Amino acid sequence: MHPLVAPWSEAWPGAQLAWSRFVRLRAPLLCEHSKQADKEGLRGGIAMIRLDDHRVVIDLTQIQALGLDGFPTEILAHEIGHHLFVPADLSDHGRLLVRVRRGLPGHEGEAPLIANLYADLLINDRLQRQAELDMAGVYRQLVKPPKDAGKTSPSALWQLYLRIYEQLWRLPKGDLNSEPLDDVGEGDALLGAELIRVYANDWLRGAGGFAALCLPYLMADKQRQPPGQVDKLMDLDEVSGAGGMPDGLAEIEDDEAAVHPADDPKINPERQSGKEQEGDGDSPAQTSGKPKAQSKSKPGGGQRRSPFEYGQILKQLGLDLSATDVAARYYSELARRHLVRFPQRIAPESTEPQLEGTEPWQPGEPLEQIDWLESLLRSPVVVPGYTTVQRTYGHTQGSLPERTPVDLDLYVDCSGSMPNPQQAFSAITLAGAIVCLSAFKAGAKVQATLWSGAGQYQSTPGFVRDKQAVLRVLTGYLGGSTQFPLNVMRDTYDAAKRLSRPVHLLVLSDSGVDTILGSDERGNKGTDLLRRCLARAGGGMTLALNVHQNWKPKRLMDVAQELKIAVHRVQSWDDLVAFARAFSQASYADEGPGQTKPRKVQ
Amino acid sequence: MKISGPPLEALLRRLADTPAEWLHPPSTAGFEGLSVAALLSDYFDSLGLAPLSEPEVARFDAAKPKQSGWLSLSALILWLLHDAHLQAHCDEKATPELRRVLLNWLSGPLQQRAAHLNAESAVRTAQGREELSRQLLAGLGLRPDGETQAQAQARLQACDSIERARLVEAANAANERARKLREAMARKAAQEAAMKYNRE
Repeated sequence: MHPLVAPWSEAWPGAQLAWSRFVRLRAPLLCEHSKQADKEGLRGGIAMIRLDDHRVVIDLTQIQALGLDGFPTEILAHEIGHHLFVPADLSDHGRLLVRVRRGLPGHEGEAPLIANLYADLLINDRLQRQAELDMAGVYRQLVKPPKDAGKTSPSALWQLYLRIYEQLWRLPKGDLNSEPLDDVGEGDALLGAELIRVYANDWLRGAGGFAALCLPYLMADKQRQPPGQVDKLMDLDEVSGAGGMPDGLAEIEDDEAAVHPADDPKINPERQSGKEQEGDGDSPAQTSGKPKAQSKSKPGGGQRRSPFEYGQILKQLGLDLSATDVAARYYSELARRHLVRFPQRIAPESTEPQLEGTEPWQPGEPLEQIDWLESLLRSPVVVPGYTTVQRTYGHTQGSLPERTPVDLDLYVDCSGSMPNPQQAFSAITLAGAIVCLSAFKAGAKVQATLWSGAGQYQSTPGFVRDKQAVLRVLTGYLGGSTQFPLNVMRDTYDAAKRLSRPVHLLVLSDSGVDTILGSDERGNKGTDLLRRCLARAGGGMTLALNVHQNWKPKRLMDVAQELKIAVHRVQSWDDLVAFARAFSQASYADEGPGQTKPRKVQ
Repeated sequence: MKISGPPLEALLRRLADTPAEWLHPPSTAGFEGLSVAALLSDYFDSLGLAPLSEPEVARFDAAKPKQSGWLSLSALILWLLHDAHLQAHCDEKATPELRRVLLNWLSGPLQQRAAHLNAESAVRTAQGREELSRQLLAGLGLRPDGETQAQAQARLQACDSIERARLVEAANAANERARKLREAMARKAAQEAAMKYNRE
């Protein structure tokens, strides 16, 4: 057994106590070999905490090599700090990165490093000053140059970082940072130390300011080599990448602005009085009479970041996602606050379910519908979608009216006039996501089709309950000419022998919608196809169009009137989002059976 | 700072417990309030030293109203000097030299410090309490009990509001330059994003 296993295990209760006597985490994984540490997820660091199972992982071999044998409580408590204090969870880690990025214009790629330095400062300061652990001792050990180290020029950023510790803990100059700083560096270190203290209990608000403080040092550094092996304790990039998805990053919060600590009256009161005397009311810190960092954190009035930036943040969180998955997540998050019950219709009588057997359970269907006993009897190894089954029921006549969700057949225009939803915000994609997710919420199935020129379309494999499949289609991009996919509509309803539920057709488009009256590749006229499909669908049709108010092509209007197709005009793509919300809200519930026209939206 | 003085904690505690009367507005030219000259004179008297002369009294009680911040700090210093440890030390060293040192320190370094540290902060904030206590000890050539000379010097500098103001001013000037750079970079990033969007 490794000689450090016993003393480090004994230090575990003390490390938890440094935060609270109520902390009860699983015992740490003390890896006796670096290979084992790699296997547990440590990527060259000495320690980390995994956010998915809240397990601290320590590489004892490296600990010994760095001479940190005598700091078990300090290092274990530091890792616990990432779970209990900063960043605590993946969502707050994402919010931290967002704020840090705002303070680093042009250097956003360095946000993970700066976020890590900031988190470590906050954690270590609390442990040193409140828990009275010897964090300074850990850094004294880490700054020692390795024996085989050549001569390197010092990194300005790391010098500032270590000097901030010296200021925070009133250490003699040069105790950690061997290179003296000039007056500007000393002033910045002072401001950095005060920022850590001022925002210790509200650390998200100080993050942008800390990044702004570090920016000139990032720019000055020709290389980022830290003194000694201080970077071995950098572990924030290793805590992420697991433990689910962060939430709430698609919208901009109103306190994200980065206020440099020199401009923040909470940190530098002289600056405020000086500015007041000069009558300068336009400084970043004073644009609203108080620093933006002081205002309450809340979503920024519906402002959203671009899908591209959203993807960059997820990437920096260590989440390995494709551009499509990022876009799907983005629109799903934006759509969430618009979700309402999807239209349902009252059928004449409800029925009593009667068990008839089982059928395959597919991913995307409610988890609770899996018949575990039957699934395990079929195969002891569960493979979702293959060995999983759910019960099927027949129905006997009941006595009460039943609410039936209306399935949705959605056609989203994705011609060259639309933005690529993976690069820039696309209102039409968000509108589609709102309607589809509302439909899922009500238990309906959705078929989503993205269309552009003739033969250019992407579609879900029929009506599905798989949210991801639908969002993947909606967030795709075609960007060609314009031709409504009459063949998709035709095949959908011709192929269906009997629709189990009524289907509502919804088309989100602009003036290019008039191609619906053209002919399909077999020469069938659009009007005839519409008539046939709507009769089979039985749930009506709506066209939501971004066109000017007077756009009323006679032929299309005549067909719409004849087939009772609801036509809604919006003046901008953003209005389409409001339409989607209203459409989802409009309920069929109060209407009598047999009526197919949806309630008017506007 | 060669001589080990009282423990710092005792002085910090004493400052935190300063009675409200010691924080009353001080007497200045044209305003009658807390007489710092009287307090100082009494203090010297208690040490068996010569009380303040007329010109020395005038230096305090006839000070300009804008010097009231300095006078309030002086009153706090006198409150601190009545700490048992310091009283014992000053009793032992009660010589005209001590009187001269103390008067010079109050009129010189403490007066300069008053531009950066006010009496309210020196009582209410931990940093202010530490600064005033350490400055007094340094003025008397003492260091806090339990600290080495190097530690005491480093900590004295770390909580020196005059030095802080100088360094922060340097950082402010650098920040002004950095701010312009940041704004230019943010503009450039926005332009690039817009161009990218337009291309697509």
